Amino acid sequence: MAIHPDQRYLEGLLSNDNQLVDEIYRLFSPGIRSWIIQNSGTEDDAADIFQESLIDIYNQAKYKGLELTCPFQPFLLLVCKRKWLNEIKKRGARQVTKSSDDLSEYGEDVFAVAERVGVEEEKAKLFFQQFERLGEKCREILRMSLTGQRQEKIAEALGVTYGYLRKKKSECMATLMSYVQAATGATSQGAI
Amino acid sequence: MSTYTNEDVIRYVEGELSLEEKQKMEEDLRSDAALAESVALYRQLKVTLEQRLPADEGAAALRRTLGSMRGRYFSGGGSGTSGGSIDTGRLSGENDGSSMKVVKMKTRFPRYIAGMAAAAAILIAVVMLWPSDYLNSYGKTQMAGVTERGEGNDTLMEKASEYFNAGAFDKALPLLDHAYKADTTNQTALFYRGVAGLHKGATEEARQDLQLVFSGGSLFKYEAAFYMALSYAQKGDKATARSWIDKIPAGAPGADKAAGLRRKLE
Repeated sequence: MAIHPDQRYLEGLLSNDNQLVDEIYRLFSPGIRSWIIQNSGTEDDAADIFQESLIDIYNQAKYKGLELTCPFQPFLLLVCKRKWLNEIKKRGARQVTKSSDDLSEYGEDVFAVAERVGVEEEKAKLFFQQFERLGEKCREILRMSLTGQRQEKIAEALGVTYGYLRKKKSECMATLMSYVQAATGATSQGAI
Repeated sequence: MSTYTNEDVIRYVEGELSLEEKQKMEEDLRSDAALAESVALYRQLKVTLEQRLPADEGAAALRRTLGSMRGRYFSGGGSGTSGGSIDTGRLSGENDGSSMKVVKMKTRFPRYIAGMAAAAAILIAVVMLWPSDYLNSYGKTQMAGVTERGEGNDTLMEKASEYFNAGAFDKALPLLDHAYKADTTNQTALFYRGVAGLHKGATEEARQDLQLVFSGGSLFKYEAAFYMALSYAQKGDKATARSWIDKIPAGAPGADKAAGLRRKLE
């Protein structure tokens, strides 16, 4: 599918282009603000949702190679809506009014991509929440081991053998997996 | 029902199983959905951490830009951190340590509770304005495991680590000194010698160590920058302390502590 000219907004987020980010806020924030306020939110909620949705899109563009095949506005609106609906669900809040805008003209793709952005970013957040539960030593070992440096060099810096580092790294990752599994209600620690 | 552990899954993905073990696991993978799910989870987890654990200066810079726009396009939206009550879910690599969640208080309290709160606020303000012991408030750290365990062989670094972690910096210092002089590439010894020196009040020598660690680009680089900041904060030189904090990118080791120290300095 062809890349939409609005891909420039994604490029703007990736390069932190002040002018393009300003354009995104100027053109798209009013619609999203009014939708959130109409649906039990406040001005602050709208500002948060708008900002965090842009960060999610940045992350997906940077790490998952997200490319825009539809206009940016409906895509951003769907990402924001999904985020806000999840937020009010967490708060156990009231019913949300039905969406009055019709996005069907953009096809199913925009819905699918917006959904994927939401799901993948939530998963990444869960991974890091569980990562923070690990002990300091495990976090340090994983930080060092998973950030592209040579394992032998890391072992040397920590004053441990290469074999010990590999063993500890594997133990820490296994613990992290069990935390994630428990948090998502999947098969927990130990035998699968 | 398979009886694989998560460590088996990791060994499989990392190609550490014997040919026989691998073949057996692949056979089980075809019929065991939970096992296949665990393999997929490990792959996702690993890729996500590899991508997002390193400091993402781009995300931190974007957050600053978004913060400034927020103030311009949303009324009362503050200027950079979450002004609402949404969990921003900031990820490790883009974490600048600023507020993750702001919870708004909407309940109206009885007057006597308000009075108590006011008294508490005054007390907090007095404590906050009191000259700070930055080093003891922010400078606590533990030496990570430095030796192979289980060999019953107490090395110099392990002994130093025991003393250091017990807060016996005067006993840790000579051992770290010895370890560093025996091997001047030992950045672990140099870094902890610097930290121990700070705790013992040998500020100038400690700064020399930390400066060396910072310049050397070792894994302790940004933690060294944090302790440099702390050493200046401790002496009341807030401007230099801030300039050291500025050298620590979001997501780097010590970035969270640095953000806390910055808030305290402000």
